[in-house]
Amino acid sequence: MRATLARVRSHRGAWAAALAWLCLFNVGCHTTTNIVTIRSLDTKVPVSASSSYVDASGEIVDASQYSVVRDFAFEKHVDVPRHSTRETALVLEPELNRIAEETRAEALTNLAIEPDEYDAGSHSSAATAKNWMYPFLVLGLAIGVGSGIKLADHPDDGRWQGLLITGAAVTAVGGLLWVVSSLDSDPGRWRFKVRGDAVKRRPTNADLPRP
Amino acid sequence: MLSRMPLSQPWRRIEVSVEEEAGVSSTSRTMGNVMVLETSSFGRYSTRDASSQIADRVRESGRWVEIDRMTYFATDESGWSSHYGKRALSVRAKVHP
Repeated sequence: MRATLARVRSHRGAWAAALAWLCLFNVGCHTTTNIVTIRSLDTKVPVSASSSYVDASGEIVDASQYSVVRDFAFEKHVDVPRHSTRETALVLEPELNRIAEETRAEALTNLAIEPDEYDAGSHSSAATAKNWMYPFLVLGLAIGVGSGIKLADHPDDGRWQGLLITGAAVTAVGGLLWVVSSLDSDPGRWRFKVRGDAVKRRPTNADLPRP
Repeated sequence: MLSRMPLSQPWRRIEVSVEEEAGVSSTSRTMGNVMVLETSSFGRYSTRDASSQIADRVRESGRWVEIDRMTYFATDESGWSSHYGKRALSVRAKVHP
């Protein structure tokens, strides 16, 4: 038992490094959150997600009462830097107002806001690189510093020279992973397809000129 | 209705959400000595899905619905050995009788 304890004490540096590795093994959780909100649209004409709409007087106008001037579609996207959290208000009013003005529409109906498959960007690959980076840096620095101190006392000892080179190599791998994780920075992206119909109410009998 | 209504009529609020959470399907490739995980294939969340849910909820009691707020939510969490992802669309609406 004493011999075992003595052996453990003689490798204190290695045990500390192993402990640090185990601790780091249990952290390293990275989160990317991309929240996009759409509030009631403040547009110049009524905008509806269904085929009917409510006009300014509160009357419901269904599809039989209007004609489609033009259908439309455009795309929007909202990014969040990887490993960060952001809430963004999606602004659609400028595009919708422009379409309404161009088509002289009285309303926009059947508006669909459909996201493509969400693109998580480089969230996972950068997380993996970061998670491996920390243990390599900590272990490499521990081995390097420990063997450097020993080498100062025993400059001709080949074992410590070898360990110093090993520590430098392990640290270099950690540094390389830091470079990889820094360059791997594609954002998380919601990409929306917005489409609908610009419509104009058909004239009723009351609107037609009398003969 | 997605646009703001100037009318001050009685209404009641409802909320619906369409969401998916999963361990996220992953593919892996090797980069040097590091295994890199890449996430892929999530579901599609459409205003139409939410609209049809709202329609089911208000068919009996409402004449029309004013969308108050829509929220698209995406989160990914990656640890050493696990990956968790969630995608959701939640809609808060006013039902006008």
